[in-house]
Amino acid sequence: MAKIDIINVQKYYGSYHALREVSLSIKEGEFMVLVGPSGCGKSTLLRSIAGLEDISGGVIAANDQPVNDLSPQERNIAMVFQNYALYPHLTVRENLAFSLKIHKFEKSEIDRRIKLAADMLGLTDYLSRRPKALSGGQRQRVAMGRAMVREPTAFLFDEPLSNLDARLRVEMRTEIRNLQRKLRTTAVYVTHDQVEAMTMGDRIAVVNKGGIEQVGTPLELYRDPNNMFVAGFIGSPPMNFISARADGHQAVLEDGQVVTIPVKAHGDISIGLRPEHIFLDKLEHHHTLKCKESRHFDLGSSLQYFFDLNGTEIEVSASGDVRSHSGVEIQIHFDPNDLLVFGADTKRIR
Amino acid sequence: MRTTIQQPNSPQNGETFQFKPELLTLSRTWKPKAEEGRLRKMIFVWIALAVIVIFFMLPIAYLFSTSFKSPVDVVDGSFFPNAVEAENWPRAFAQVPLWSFMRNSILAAAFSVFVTLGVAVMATYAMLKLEVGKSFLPDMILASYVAPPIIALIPMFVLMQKLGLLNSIAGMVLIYGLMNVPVAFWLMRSFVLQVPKALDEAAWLDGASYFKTFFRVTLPLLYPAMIATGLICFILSFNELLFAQAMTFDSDSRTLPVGISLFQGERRVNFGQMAAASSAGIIPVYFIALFCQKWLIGGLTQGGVK
Amino acid sequence: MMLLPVLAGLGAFFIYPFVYLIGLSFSKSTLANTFQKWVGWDNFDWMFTGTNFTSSIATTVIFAITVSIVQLILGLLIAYLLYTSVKNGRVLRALILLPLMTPPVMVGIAWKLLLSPTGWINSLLSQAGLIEQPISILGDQRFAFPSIMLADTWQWTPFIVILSYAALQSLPEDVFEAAALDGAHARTTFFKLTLPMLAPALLSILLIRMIMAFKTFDLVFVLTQGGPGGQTDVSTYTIWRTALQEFDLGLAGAQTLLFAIVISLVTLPIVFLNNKAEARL
Repeated sequence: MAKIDIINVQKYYGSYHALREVSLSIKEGEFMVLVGPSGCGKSTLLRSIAGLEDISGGVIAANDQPVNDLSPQERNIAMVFQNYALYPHLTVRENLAFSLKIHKFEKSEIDRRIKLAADMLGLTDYLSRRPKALSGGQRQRVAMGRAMVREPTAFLFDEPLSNLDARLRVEMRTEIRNLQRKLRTTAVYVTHDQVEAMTMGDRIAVVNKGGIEQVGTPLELYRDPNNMFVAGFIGSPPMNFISARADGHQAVLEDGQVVTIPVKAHGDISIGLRPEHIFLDKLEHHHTLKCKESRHFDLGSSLQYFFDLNGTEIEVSASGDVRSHSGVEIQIHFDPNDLLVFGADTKRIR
Repeated sequence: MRTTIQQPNSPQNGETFQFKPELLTLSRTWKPKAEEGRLRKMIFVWIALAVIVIFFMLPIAYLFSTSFKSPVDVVDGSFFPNAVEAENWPRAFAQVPLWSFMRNSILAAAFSVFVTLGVAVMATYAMLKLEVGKSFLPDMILASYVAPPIIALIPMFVLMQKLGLLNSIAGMVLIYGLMNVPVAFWLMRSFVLQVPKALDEAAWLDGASYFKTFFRVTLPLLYPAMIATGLICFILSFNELLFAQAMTFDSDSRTLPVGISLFQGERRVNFGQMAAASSAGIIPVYFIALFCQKWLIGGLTQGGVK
Repeated sequence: MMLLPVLAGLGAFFIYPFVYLIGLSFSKSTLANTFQKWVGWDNFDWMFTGTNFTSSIATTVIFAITVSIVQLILGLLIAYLLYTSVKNGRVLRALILLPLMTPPVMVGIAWKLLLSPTGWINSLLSQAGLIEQPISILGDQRFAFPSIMLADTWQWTPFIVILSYAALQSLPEDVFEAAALDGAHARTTFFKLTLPMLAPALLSILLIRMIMAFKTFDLVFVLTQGGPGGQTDVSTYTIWRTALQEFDLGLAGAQTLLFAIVISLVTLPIVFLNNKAEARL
């Protein structure tokens, strides 16, 4: 168990700048999720923590001790890989015992830990099987077991659920999270799935283009994003952005409709509005915008509308009966306090 | 040109287009609808296959058949002996020390395989997985494979002379062992690359050193590849002539190809005995070819086509 | 550390021979008495003016290119036939593996027997009325070189068959299913689909075969000893004779260097291009 500090870490691949001055503090026992689009550098950051990538600058420290110069073997970190990386020629038991044997643990201690992990993960009946004879979910559990038995400084997860089907993925999220809570081991979890990030992380770091955009609890990121990238990445369906020109609290859309914004701004802005904050029925204090429906999908439990506003597509989640049809003009309503305002530089105006 | 799928409204036949699951299998075998066409195609295939098999079996069959011919039958020009004469075989073994040649060949080839694998497997792993030597070393190995072996013949001859290894099986083991390294590298390459990098990384994080990772994780996964590579290298060494005939001088070290090539070069050689000796020399490799077919084809194709 | 043996191997089989050969080629050396004195370019002068070595190199290049292309076409056709028309080709492929495994010396002997004046081919030809007297096929200027090519093709076409068969198997099935549903004719499928998709693999196979064909020695050694009239004098055989029959190591060194340079010029550019193309895939 350890806290991990990442200070100004840089990584170059040739001239490609993969990590740009990344700093992040992970508290002891915390479940930190690194989320971002593919190629954003989140996996590189994770692998740097593991020691599988050399960093070009900065410091990575565990419990205030720099580990930059330690090889992966010396860092006592366990990792769950995307494709599990189970040793195919070894049985489940041997997979779990591999690292313990290398570290020359007593046989009784190895057996104790394997039994503990197998009980916890429901693998007891499969200990003598080879990975090939296991289902995806079972392999996933073995990979976690292999990380667990070592009682490492930290768990690293590299998109571990991406090869599972949707139902199993949801199940495993809870399982991983419960396990980590029980063991209280610091965990760093990489995913590109923001729902996974929101449901699993104590805190989330949103990574983009080799840098961290924002760190915070899931709710902080949802309610109070620092910029358009975070606002657009966190939340499902994604936030709608409407471009406008602002003068104080007044913002004028391209077609001349006027919206009152909760903060003062000047010049070109983007107004962010989450689909779940738009209503088709007017309530008190609500503002109204006119737009045209382009299409809708009936998902059974809810309706997904797409409206056209000056060429921008606005997504709205609603319930109840279908209200409109393609091409019909319609009014949408929202609480102006739910609006987020972003400047031309995509930064939030508060 | 006919099409395989009938047009929906083609006026020639009244049938309407129906989706037939069999159509999906057309990818591999195009089966004309007409029974007659299918028959014609089958006849063509059978004739073609027969020609192919006959062509590739012909010289071997002729060699074996000649080994049972009397001296009179040999000059007769017929394919099969008029009367089976088994005498050629024992006479060939009496004339030429075939057993020694065979022993030498098998020893040289077998031990050279261990040298080759010992050198090549770890090196292939280090070069491809740990990226030691970047692309320079693999390129060098490729270049050394392109270079004809005659380049090494004279210098190696002189080197072996100095080491006192001329005319010895040990010398041939060393020569073949090193000579086949590029081939082994080429064959092992795709097998090594198929082992996911994450497995090595998992082992490193588990605390295994680079050597331990290689021996406990990668190597066990490469056993099948090593068997295939080893068999191919064995056959290459077993069949080799150029170096063996330059560097071995007597029946204590001469290999089969050398012994038999010298035997056939003698002026008054009996064709029947020559054929018998050659047939005898082929048997060990055919044994391997038939029983280890799966490994050989697997090894060749993995290495040859990515 | 893991590389030490391979470095030693490269040194022994590649770098040391090259350095040694360069030394030899500028010296008067015999097998018994190497490096008697330095003679400058004498060996090279003699190679170009006093020997037929350039024609031997031409023979080798013609041989390598011809057999590799012929065998590629033949091998691909056979592989395609096996792939499309034979359900379980295990027995056939086992049989076809045999020529490849046969020691080249034995291949040579088998063909020598077949082609000899008293052999089966001659009796076949005379029965067909094509010849009146048995002819010495291997001793005939017209037939000796094609005979070597024939024996080589017999031995190596199976190699191409096995590799192209694997390449065919690795092609994505769904593309052919799509083509079949599009109503593509078998011939169209082969030329428009199969062949272009196989092209990179076929290029690799062709290269490997060509490189090996440059090294041919055994068949010539057994079948013709370079004759008749130098028709089948492939370079490896010529160099071998210069070094181990005439014992002139200096000249052999010069010949080997020239041979190595020619092979490199012909193959290396394609080899590396091919490698780069492969890496990009």
